[in-house]
Amino acid sequence: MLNVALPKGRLGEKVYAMFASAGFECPEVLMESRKLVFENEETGVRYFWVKPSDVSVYVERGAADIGVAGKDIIDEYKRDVYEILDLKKGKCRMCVAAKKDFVDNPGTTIRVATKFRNIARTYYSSIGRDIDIIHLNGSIELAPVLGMSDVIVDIVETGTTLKENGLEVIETIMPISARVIVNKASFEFKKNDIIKVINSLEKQIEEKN
Amino acid sequence: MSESLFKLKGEERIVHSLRSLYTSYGYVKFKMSRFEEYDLYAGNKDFLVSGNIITFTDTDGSLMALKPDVTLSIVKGFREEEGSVSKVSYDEKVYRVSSSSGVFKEITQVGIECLGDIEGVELGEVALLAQKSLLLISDESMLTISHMGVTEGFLGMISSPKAKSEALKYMEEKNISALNKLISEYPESGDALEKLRSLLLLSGSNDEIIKRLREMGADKKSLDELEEVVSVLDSDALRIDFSVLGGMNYYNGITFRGYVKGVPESVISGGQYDKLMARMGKKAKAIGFAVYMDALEKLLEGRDEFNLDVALVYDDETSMSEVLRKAEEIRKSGRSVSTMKKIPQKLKSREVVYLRGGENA
Repeated sequence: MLNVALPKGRLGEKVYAMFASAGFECPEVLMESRKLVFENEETGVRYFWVKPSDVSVYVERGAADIGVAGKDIIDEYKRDVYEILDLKKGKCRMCVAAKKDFVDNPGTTIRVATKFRNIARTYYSSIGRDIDIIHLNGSIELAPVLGMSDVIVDIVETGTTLKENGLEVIETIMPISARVIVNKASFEFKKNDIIKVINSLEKQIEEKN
Repeated sequence: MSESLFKLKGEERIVHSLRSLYTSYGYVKFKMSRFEEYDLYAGNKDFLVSGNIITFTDTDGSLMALKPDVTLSIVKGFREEEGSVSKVSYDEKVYRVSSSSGVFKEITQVGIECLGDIEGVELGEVALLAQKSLLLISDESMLTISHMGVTEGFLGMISSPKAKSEALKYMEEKNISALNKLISEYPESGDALEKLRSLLLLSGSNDEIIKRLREMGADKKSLDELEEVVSVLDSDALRIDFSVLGGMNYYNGITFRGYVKGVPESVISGGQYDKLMARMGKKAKAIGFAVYMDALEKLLEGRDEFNLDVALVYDDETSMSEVLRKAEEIRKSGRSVSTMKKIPQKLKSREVVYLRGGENA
């Protein structure tokens, strides 16, 4: 039985479709219901819907053998999983953004508001900059507007929210997209199924790009 | 039933049976101090599972560490003797950050090291012992084995050092997409990168894999060694897998990791580490592995339904000698007995025996 953690939402539905064409069908998954776990004994697969940012926890701890998670979550929490494929879906960028009139003074400690503490810390230490991290859980854009921080480190998809709040991207830290992740022990115990999925997904990604 | 009286807790039982296994193979128990000079670890941080070390200042002002690892101490204390091999086993408490909780923990590490003029026999024996250790832990286990020489052979064909270090990182992540991208960025090393990429998802029987590696032109000496070791192991619980890469600066030759069903991370890790020996000024070769008991916690927890066989409940009318005599009698049948006047709420016993007014109930 292959256990698959799907991120709730549109991405998860697309991912299910890809797994289904790889031979792991379970039509029940897409039906509207409050059930969280769906199983198809014929194809030997069990799907469950989880909060997107939790997928990597399920995979790291082995409750799911395979799942799909954003590169931002994988890097931020340094999950001990195999990061096998780039699905090239859910593309966005991890960026540093600031108010349009912001002038960086390298002689001062820079105040950074972010949800992604580790990514911000790693980035600024790579350029040797001293920072003061302000950890927020949402509405990050507000921090520089109110003068609480100099910059923000956040995910940028279209940039609309930034623009509407008078902010702009000043640096791209890395591109983000959805990744197929696999538990390290499951990889050994369920190798055939996992390789079957990976090979098929890889082909599907190539065809689309 | 008699086993339940002497039933050890999961961890104790496994440590005990591992120790007897290693003793039966002639591995001599090595006992060491709980502290070590910090310098020993500072120079070899990436050999350790986690770089975090608990340090303190000794009475003479020197910086000491609570041991985060055992292998380095064994290597340090090893006396070379030409042509001979020293086989040691250990079970020690080590102190490091646990991967699951992210805080310092006392962890039991059990393992063996084989140092000296080692050759095929020792390589085979140690790999075999790793597989046997896994079997003692669980019926469903898997040993993954690889050979650094094969990976290094392909890595050596990559001309750009940047591409090489990136390729290594992606190999550890099994990151196919990133390797594909690297292939398009460095077409001059495309052939070597393609080969590394194909190492990631090797499937089929071990014989087929070795055959394929030969066709790919993998380093012959390494492959011969790998094939020989694989031939003495139980092929049902063995996989050739080249993502075992951690510590390329220390390991060479055969490396392996062990997994058991129900535990999401590896429980055994080891290999041949001549490079570490050289770094520490030893000419000899060495191979060994460690079993990490902290990883097994997930397997062992919550298995006991009862914490006692018999609760012997007596009242005020019963004499002390009668209570103790009755308890001893039940114990002789091989069951554990605890005497009490009232059963505590949290106690779960298989059976309750009442002693009332001196009569057997």
